[in-house]
Amino acid sequence: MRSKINFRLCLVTNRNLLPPDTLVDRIARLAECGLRAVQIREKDLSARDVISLAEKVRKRTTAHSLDLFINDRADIARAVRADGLHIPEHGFPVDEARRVVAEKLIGKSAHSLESALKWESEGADFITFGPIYDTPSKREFGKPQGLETLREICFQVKIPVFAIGGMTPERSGYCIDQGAHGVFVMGDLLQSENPISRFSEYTAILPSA
Amino acid sequence: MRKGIRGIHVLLGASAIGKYSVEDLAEIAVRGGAAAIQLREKIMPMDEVLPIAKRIRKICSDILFIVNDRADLALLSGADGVHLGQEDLPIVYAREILGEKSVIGISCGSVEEAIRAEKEGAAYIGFGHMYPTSSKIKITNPRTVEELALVCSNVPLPVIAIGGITPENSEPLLELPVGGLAILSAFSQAEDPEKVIATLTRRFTARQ
Repeated sequence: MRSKINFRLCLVTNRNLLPPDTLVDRIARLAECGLRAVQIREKDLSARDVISLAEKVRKRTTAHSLDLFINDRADIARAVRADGLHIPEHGFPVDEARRVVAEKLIGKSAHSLESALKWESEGADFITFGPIYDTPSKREFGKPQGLETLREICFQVKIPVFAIGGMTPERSGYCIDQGAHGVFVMGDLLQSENPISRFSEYTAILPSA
Repeated sequence: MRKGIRGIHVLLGASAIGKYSVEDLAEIAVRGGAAAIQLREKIMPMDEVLPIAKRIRKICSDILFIVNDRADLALLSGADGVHLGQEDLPIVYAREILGEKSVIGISCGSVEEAIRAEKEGAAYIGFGHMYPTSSKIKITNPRTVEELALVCSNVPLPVIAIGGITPENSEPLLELPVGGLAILSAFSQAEDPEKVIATLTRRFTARQ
């Protein structure tokens, strides 16, 4: 049976934003504080290193129900027994990826209403939509989408929509108000000087699971 | 025709080269007697690579079709197997995804790596690079013909020599009991790729 989405916030990793070898610690500490989903997205790592990172995350978070997502690589998602796969907008079609990862959760990035509806019809469990706000990592995709577009997407798409891009606790509240199910966060939690209290600001604003 | 690993392996990216589309190059490779086509695409996004991989699969239905690195792409395109580097997916996981009959090749740069790959269940060894090559930035020096000979005599699997191989420099390699030669730019960037693959196929077959 297909897994259920039981998170409102997913942490997207980028170990290069942190001091060397501190990513697993950061994830583990956030999991202790209630983080329920993490997406390993380390594009410059080899498959072996992604697998070893994912295994370390698993080992350190066994006591917590943390859903582990792998970005892009359906084969690695299956290898590490991840809970889900997150497909970039130009990755595999969802129905194709489903043949590799079967009942795992599949999320896919959308940057337009057209793609969002397509991923939904292909059987995605959720989409991420963004960038809602300006963010250095997504400037190549053009101007931020804004809350109006997010509202339209959430209205048209039946599956959960997660807002992504330039997220802060306050902004995550605005995204929820537009109909988003939750948010994906990278820089704001990875670069924060006090990630634990920053995370608690999110949990105060986001709906509980 | 029976699919076999031994022979000439043609490595292709997913992009067109000069006047040839990747499908053209695949057809030429099949006509010229290649034993395998390996799709090695590092940049193009998967929504574009997958349809290309499926078309190559159709073109080379009688010979091996191997996908580099990505077992997921191999499964979805109906490839016969996957070719993995030392830092790629471990064999055990690739086999779990692609099945027991899948053909898994491993790139090795030493006898030790080749022996380990054999123990782990590889179907063939890719060994190199044999000659200087521009198709990948290499941090190591080329392997020597002596090292290639050592791998061939220590591992019972087909050993496919790779890296900078051309019809002109292939002779010393073909004097060894190699399982085959892999060619990249010498084929895809040749004036007459059909002549290149036909020449190498003939030489490889003649020595058996």
